[in-house]
Amino acid sequence: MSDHEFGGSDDLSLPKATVQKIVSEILSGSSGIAFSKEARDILIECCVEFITLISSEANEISEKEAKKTIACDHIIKALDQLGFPDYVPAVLEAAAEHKEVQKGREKKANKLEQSGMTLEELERLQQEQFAAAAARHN
Amino acid sequence: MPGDDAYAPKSPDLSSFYSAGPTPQVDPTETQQLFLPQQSKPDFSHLQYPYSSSSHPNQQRYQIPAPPHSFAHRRPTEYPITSQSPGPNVGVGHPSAAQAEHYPPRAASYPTTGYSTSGTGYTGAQAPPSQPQQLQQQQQQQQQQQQQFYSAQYQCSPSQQFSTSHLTAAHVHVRQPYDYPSAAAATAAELSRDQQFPATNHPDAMPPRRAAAAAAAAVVAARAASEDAPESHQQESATGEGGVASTNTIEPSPVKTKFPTARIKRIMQADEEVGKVAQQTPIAVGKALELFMVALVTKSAEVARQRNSKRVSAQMLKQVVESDDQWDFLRDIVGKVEADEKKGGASQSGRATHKGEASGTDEEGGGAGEGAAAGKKRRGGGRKKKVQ
Repeated sequence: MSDHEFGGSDDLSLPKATVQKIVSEILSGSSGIAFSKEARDILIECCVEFITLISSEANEISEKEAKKTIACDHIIKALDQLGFPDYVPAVLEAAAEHKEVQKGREKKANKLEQSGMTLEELERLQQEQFAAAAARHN
Repeated sequence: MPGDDAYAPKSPDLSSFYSAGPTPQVDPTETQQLFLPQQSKPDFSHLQYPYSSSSHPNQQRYQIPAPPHSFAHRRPTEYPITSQSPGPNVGVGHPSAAQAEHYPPRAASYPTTGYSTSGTGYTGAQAPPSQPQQLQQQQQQQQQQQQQFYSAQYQCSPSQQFSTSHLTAAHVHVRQPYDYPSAAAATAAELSRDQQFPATNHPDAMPPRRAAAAAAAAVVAARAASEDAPESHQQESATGEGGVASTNTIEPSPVKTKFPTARIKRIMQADEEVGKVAQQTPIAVGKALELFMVALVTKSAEVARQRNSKRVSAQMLKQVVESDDQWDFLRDIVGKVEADEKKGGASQSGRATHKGEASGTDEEGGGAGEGAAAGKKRRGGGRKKKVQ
């Protein structure tokens, strides 16, 4: 799907700089404590493991439900089952937020389509309106 | 609406509207702060009542901000109200009789479902746009019976209300981050509604009603508010709220940086068994990952502090992972990596780890700045929507 965005598909780790930044954001409140490089590398591995764990659990759940696509619900259930129920509300919120943003985008995109005219037609209409306005002005 | 004008001056308890600001500190809007001093606990209890009552808290939590929940409750109770009041004339002509008739059933309903009934009873007044006649009836009813309702409520279900409010009050700090979008929506919609419907003032009824209407009418506002992550964090830390939240590890994500969605998806799909992934899924996973990191990093920072170290070593990370069964799936990773470091550290005993940390300090600073660019959320541009 989105593999073309990246050169190789064998880089299955998280970007170190991003992780480092997030870590320092988390630790920004706690008086100058930082992560060592080794700890960060392990943390990245842990994160990848976490993603794998969640996704494989979610995959199982989705298969049980005879769904081909792993949906948000499956992630939620996976989190719940794997001992991370604390994360559920925040995850739901993030997902809902994203959904809303997505909705808004679709609406905007559809506005053009809903006009029922092709681009040429719209352009012609615009020109006509410009001409009419100019005529009125003069 | 004539009823509104007549009723507005009689409604001194507009404060009930303000009570819906459950997360004043969190909300960036100025209006929210106005509501701050007002009663906030009752609001929380309303918004969060389902949590405490439910056997399965997570699913209930989910429903709170969602409008359908409130609407679902609103409808049914709408009809009971109108059915109880045969007409406005009856109510006006014989207030005492009307009260006598209306009062008992309502009072009876309070003890069983104190919150939903008290809340939804007045949410019926929200229907005005679509059902103006009902609104008038209800308003007149309310005028007559307002006091009765209040007394009835407090007579019948004081223990419930207060107990639940206490219960949920304990969770306030934890839940705030997740409630506040709806609260923001509530207050956003509230401003306009205050002017439109000053007549509906039932302190306990307000929050659900407003949450319902607000969520429906001002979802956009909620989103805008919830996206103002930086502001909320600043306010939280300023009010000292952040400290409380961090102990619960559900602090409203100090993390502004988001993981690249495409990367998460790719990691997910590295597992061959994993097939299609819905568009939202990597975002959900990314959020979960963020929380996971917050928990892990915060705990290891605590360990570092206990050891009087400024630097979290891999050793400390290991200690954290092994301290909790929740993270047992990480033990292989931690164990494998630590084995190497232990060789160096074992001979010199525990203190050696500090030296190892100190040597690592130099490497640290460089990476922090670079990550900034990678921060933004990635939304696959040309990807089709695959949500089922």
